[in-house]
Amino acid sequence: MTTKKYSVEANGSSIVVAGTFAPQSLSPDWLCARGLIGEGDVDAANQEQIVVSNQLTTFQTQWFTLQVLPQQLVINSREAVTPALMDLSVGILSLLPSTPVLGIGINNHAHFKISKTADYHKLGDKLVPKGVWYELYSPQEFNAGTIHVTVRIEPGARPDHLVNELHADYKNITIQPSANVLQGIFVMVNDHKSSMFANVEPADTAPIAAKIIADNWQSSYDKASSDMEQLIVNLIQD
Amino acid sequence: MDSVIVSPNDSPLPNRTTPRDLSSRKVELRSSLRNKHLLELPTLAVQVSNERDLEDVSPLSMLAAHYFVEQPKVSPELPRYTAPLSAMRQLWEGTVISVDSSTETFEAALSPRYGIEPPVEHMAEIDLAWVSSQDSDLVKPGAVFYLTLCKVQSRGSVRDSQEIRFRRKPYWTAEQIRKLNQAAESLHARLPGIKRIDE
Repeated sequence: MTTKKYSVEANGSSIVVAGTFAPQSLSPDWLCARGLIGEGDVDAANQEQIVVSNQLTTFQTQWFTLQVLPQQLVINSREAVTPALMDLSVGILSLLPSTPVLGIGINNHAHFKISKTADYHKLGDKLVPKGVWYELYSPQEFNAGTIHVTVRIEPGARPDHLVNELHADYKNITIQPSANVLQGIFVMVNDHKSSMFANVEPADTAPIAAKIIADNWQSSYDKASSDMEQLIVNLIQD
Repeated sequence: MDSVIVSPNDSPLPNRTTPRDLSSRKVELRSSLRNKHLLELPTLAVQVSNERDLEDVSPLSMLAAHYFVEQPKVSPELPRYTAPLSAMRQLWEGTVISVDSSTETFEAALSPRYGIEPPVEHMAEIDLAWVSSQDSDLVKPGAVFYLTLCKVQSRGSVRDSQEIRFRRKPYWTAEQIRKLNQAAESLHARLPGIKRIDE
């Protein structure tokens, strides 16, 4: 009997909107009064830690956590991932159509358990070869391990000269040892979208942001899931 | 070292840029300024080593510089699970076809959205007991819901779990409807000869 080399132990999703927000307005009661969450969600939020203020609003229900700062809105899945996260973020942006939006992150993450310790180390060494580090610290005396790697994937071929683009779309893919799964790997795909906001009046950006999220959440989830799994396969295969 | 706050927003910035850094990027900054967004951004804090540095950089170029070097942060803090570990296995999108109050069930069409091979549609009869009480009012023909099947690990045990969550869309408030009607009337008044659809 052969055992699978890895398994997905947990996954989650989040939607981040960078822009200008009034945190105090996005309370559980406000969202419920406008039909975006249910009364059971409000009860759940009030039973756990909740802050509603000018500088920060944060609360959690059974299925999501919400954090609003003056420059950022974050909605995280809790337990099972559901497209209701997408509906909630689209609903908020629909209710606040004049909100200036600078960028969107559709983020997905997963914790993979690696069956064999040898594969776990192979994965880290393939991702970050340790030769240059063992020239500094002898492998007879020290162990070099990979703690955090983020790779940015941008469209187009590698350019000859580097230019910082304010309005660019890209993916940041992060790999770390899992903090929740023993002998596990945490992978997160941050699907950043902001090119659509170039040359648009700030007051007109929220409806665009809502449409981007509605049109892209599912495909972003599918692509992130297949990328994360293929990455693990590539890193542990001989 | 002084800190100059160009706008009154007091939110902290993760990175700060010195004016000397900014002047070396003058060409790029000017091109960045063409975008109107830069003029609307709320916050800038720039650290300076002495007052002469301040003279080198106008507030506008500092504002542009900040957003030239800073992309909007759209990555969340890395999650740390306090709840049970949950891994999605399948995701279905359902549409309520009919509700039978006598049997306390509803009939639904299920479309595959993730993890279903082959991805074919199904009809299902679902017990209303699976719907949370806060969503029970939403169970009507045409209503859309999501059915998530997942593996849940908690305290050493592993179990299958399922969750039904109905789609919620924002209400139009009476005030919003009044304003829309007002805007429509105003537009209509400026279009002589155009008949209202309800006339």
